[in-house]
This record gives sequence, C-alpha cells and structure tokens, in this order.
Amino acid sequence: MADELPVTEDELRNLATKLDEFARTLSETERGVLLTIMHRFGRPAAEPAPAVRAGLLSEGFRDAYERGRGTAFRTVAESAKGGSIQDALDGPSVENSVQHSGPDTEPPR
Amino acid sequence: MASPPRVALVSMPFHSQFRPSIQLGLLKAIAGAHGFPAETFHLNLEFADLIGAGAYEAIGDVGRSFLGDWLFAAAAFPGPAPGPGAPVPADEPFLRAALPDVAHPLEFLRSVREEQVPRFLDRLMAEIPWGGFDVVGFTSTFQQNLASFALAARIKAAHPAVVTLFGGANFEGEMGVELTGAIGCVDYAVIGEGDEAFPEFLRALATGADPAAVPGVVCRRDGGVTAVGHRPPFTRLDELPMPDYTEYFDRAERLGLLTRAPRRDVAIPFESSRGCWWGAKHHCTFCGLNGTGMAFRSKSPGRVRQELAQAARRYRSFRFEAVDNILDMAYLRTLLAELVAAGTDYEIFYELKSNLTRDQLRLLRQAGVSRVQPGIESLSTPVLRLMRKGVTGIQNVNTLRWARYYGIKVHWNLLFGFPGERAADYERQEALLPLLAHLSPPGAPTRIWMERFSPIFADPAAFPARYRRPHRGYGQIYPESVDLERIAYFFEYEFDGSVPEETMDGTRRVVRAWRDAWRAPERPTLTFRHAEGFLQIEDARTPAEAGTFTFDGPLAAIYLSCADRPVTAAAMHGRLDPGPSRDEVTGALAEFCDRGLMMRDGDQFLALALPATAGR
Ligand code: SF4
Repeated sequence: MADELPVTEDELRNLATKLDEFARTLSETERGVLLTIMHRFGRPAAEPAPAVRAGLLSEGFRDAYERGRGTAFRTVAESAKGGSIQDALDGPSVENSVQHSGPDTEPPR
Repeated sequence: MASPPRVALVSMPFHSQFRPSIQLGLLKAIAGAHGFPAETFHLNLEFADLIGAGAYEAIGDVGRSFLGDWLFAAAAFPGPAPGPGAPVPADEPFLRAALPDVAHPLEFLRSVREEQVPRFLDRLMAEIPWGGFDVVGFTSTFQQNLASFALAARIKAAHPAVVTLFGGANFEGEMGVELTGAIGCVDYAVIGEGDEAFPEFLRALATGADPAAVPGVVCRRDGGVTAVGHRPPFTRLDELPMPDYTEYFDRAERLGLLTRAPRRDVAIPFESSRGCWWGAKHHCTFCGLNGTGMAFRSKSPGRVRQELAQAARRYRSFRFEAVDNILDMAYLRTLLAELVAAGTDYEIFYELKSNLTRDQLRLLRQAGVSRVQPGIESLSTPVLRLMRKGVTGIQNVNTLRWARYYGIKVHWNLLFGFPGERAADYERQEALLPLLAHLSPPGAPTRIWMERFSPIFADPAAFPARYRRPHRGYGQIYPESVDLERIAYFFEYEFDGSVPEETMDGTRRVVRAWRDAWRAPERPTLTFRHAEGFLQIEDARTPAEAGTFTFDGPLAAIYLSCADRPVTAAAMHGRLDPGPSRDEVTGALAEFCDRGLMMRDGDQFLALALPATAGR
C-alpha cells in the first residue's frame, strides 16, 4: 500500500516533476480525463465538489493587499526604489511588426 | 574563357545598411577558396548615404509595402513599368508612420524615384569599371529585386559580354525560374543554396563548359528556361569558409556612415545552422522560410566558436546576429556552455523555439545571448495549436518572464487570422495581456501573411481560401509580361473561419498602451521577495498605482511552487508536504488568478511575478 511506503520529499518532488513533464505531452481533453480519474481515485465518486474556494486558505487573501510598496528613510529612498532587473533591460522593440520579427536574417543563397 | 573569371558580387538596396550581407561575404570567400578571386560591392550603403540613413532603413523595414522596389521600378523597366506618374504603393497615413522623420513623404518618395535613383545608377556606372568583370552576381532578398535589375540592365547595355548571375531568397523555386525567363538582364540564376552551384558555375565559365549544365543553375534558352535538376541542401557546413566582410566596413567608414573607432558596435551576421528542425516535423502553418531547404543542418560548436572569435578580432566587434531560423538545441549543452566557460563578452541575437526553461534562458544570457526572436506568435494555446507551433500560451509567457528576468530582449508578435480560430480565443488573450505589463511588449497584432512555401499557401485543400492572388504591390512594380502568380512571395487571400479585423481592436489598444508604458521613464514591474514561510509581491504594473500583497505559510509556498515554470494543481499539491488539501490548493490558485498574480492555461498555473533579486 502506498501509505505504508516510506516516501521522502525528494521522491515526491521527482514524481511531481515527471508528472508535469508527462502532462505536457497530453492534449487538453486527455489531461481532463486524467484529472478526473485521479480525482475519483482520491475519494468516493459521489462526494460533491467542495463549495468553498480556498477553504481556510482564503483567509490569507482577505487582507493581503496594501497600497504602496517598499519604503525607506528619505535619504536612501532613491536607491531603494525599483527592481534591479529593470536596469538590465533594453527598450521595447520599435520595429514594424512582421511575421518573422527580429533582424533581417535570411540564410545565404 | 582561359583565365579565371573576374567576379563582382553586388548587394543593392534595400538590404539593411546596419550589417554586412552574409550572402556576399560567404560567396566571396567560397569563390576565393575555389581559386576565383571576387570583389564585393555593398552598393546599398551608397544609396543609404545618398537618400539619408534614416529614410533608407525605414523603407527597407516595411518590406511588404514594396516601396523600395517601387522606387527602382521605372529605372528597372523604363518602357513597360508603371510610369513616372505611377501611384506610390501605400497611402499617406501609412507613409507618415513608416517615415516619421520625413516631412513630406509623398514628395520625398517621388523625388527619390525620379531624381535620386537615376543619379545613383548613373554614378555607379561611371565610377565602377563593370567592363573589367566577367561575371556580376546579385544577391536578392526581400526588396532587392528591382534595384538589382535596374543596375544589371545598365551593365548589360554598356558591356554586353558581362555575364549576370542572380540568386537569393527571391530566386527560390518557381520565382527564380520565372524571373530568369521574364527579365532580360538576368543571364543565369542559382535556385536554392549556392555553396556548390556558384563555384561550379564559375568553373564552367572558366573551362568553356555550359554553365546551364550545373545543377541548380538556370538560364533563358530557346524560348524557355533550362533547369538541370534540383540540388539537395548543402550539409557540410563546417567546410564553408569564413565570410569576408572587409569591403563592407571599408565602404561604411569611407562614406562616413560608420565612424572609425577601435571597437565597432556593429552586428556581424554569422550562420551556425540552416533549415528548421521543428518545421521539418511540424511546419508552422504561416511560415514560408526555407522554401526548399527545411532539412536542419548545423555547424560543430568548435567551428562556431572559431568563427565568432575570428570575426570579433578581424572586424573589432563583439556583437553578432545568427541568421539561423532556429537555435540548435544541442548548442545548449555544447556551444553556449562552452562560451560561458570561455568567458567571452559577446552580444548575440538568436531565433529559437520558445518553450525554454528558466535554466536554459539563464544559460543563454550567460553565454552572451542578449536578444532573441523565440517565435512567440500568440499567447492563446488553441491559436498556437492551429498554427502548429508546438508550444502553449503559458509556456510562451514563462519564456517572456525569464527572458525579462535575465535581461534578454525579446522580439515577438501577436498573429491572428488562422482558419478555425474563435473570437473567444482572442478575448481570453486580451484579458491576459494587461497582467503581463511587466514583460516585454509585442509588436502590433498582425493578420498572418500568406507566404509562398508556407502550408497555408501550399496546401489549399487543408486551408481553403475564398480567393488567393499575388499581393497588389507586385502589379505596381512589374510589367505585364511578368507572370505575377509565379514570382510573388506574398499573396492576398481570405480564409473562411478566421476572425474579422474588429475582433482585434481591443488587443490593439492594450498593446499600444503596453508599449507606451514601456517608453515611460519608470517601466512596469511585478516582483516578489521571499523569506522562509513569507512572501511579498510588489505590483507596480501600473507604477502610479503600485501595491503590495503579503502572503504567509501555505499561500507563499503555493505561489512559489509555480514561480519557475507552469505546474498543474495536482503536481503542486503533491509537493506541498505537509500541506493543505487539494481543494484548498485549487481554491487558492483561483484566488491568485483572480488577483492577476497568476495565470492559468488549461490545468496549468504560472506565477507571473519575478524574483526581486536579480541574476539567480
Ligand atoms: S516559423 Fe520558425 S519554427 Fe516554425 S517552421 Fe518556420 S522557421 Fe521553423
């Protein structure tokens, strides 16, 4: 029985990764079928779907949002602003939208 | 011809002035390696200098408007071409958008066509001793046909003994056969790849053999066009010589288009592969690239490294642009890993397939890949399926995320117009777009073009169109004697079962706003910071209305578990141990989606925020 097997966190993670990869090879319908089977396997088929959305977890969303973002003493506020990845980026593409965007990179003939 | 033929290789407008022509550079090197010294002429630079670099590049960029070809049409076909009063093949609003720096685009284009083009061609005839060459070769891609014909006609008129040879993407397949038959100044053409056909053609000329007997070469003869079979795509890419770009840099510096400096900030084209490994299996329905050369072939990693190192030293530039259609995935283990180990400072552009992992994007950036075209043509999985892209919408978003994080600039598009698509697909996509404001924006939504060689062109049974005809621009540049059906690359068409233009109005508005937001001094961001059991997501996708979400315990774990890549609820639940019930996980995922912090595609979920700490 599965619940008698000693299962480590690593083993679970590996299995989850493999399941993800496997799921990617399936069509949307196949995924739906698989999920239904897993669902049925996990509990009696007649059991109704849960009415609550996140159950206890939904509490965690209630006051999750606040206006504003990180702050600092005024003297250092400037250096605290913005994400560092922003500085690593180039501007958006201003080229005309073309089917094969990017440079004119036809192979040589 | 007793001695080796003297060869000139020409690149005419409107090849971009900003990079040398790999076609010219490679063919010169190939000819030299076979004992036929060749001289290259990047004459496109001369024209850019004449009409202004900005206007030149803008005309070259709007390839499907045929503006560049139209400018040279009267010079190429003085009698039969649409004459001096011929209408410009674009309306005024388009021209104003295409040439924003030109005050009166219509007047400007007319004066270029009627005054500057003839002056340019006269000058080329006066300054270059064409009669000293036995062969003048023209490479032609996109809008290079008419300028090439205009010069070739003058060379033939002044020096009838000079043999003209044409090649390039514009001469692929049936197009090259028809152009050779219909255009008087085209003596010979190479159809397909020229690596072997070109030196064999020169050898035939040198030995007095019939050049038309070389496989892949065609010419006009006895009222028809000869053709000695099709030559299979060239496979031994490592045997090719390094392209020679010396003349391009000399000319650009002589003209003052490029200032002399110890380091040149110019993208050097290089080729590490040909064909498309994806297209060979599942040809994307709209793609007309690789007409006859889809089979994938790539250079060895050692050879590519050697080429980059040699080109950097020779041309004093560290910027490179791969002309490949798609990155060889084996390079992730070989070439790119080796470049990381070597610590090179290259900046490389690559086209690639978009289902890349975070690790792969990190590796690309570390190897110097700073710009990519990953073929993200849509964020809608049903639409991507219709175009046979082999990727899902959520995978495309993830590629955009990690490209943003690692500082890789992404060129991408939103295409529509696929038979079988539904307005609802685009409505769902439109609703997703504002959530991605922190990621690099796409170009304006574009209805797919019908290109020769693409499945939507080549397989009318699978893609029935109400009508299909050569793009009207061809009629404005070619005389009636040319069979447009056979020379056209772009076609006008109408599919049943594709959405009308208005369906995309909302998307257009969202994309415009997105691009505007990225031009603002402060770009939109969505980042997360994580402590053990605690997560803050800072949402500044609208910087003026920034806010912060704070999550503890399982919610933090749920969010982080799909931060690297898309994950199903079932897989996520398996990872959270000990953790909430599966229903709670599913509910929490829905709440994250409702707040725009996550996206869902089918049964997969993806966190949209990026780590605030850079470079991990
Ligand atoms: S669009 Fe790109 S991936 Fe698709 S067949 Fe063409 S080259 Fe290959």
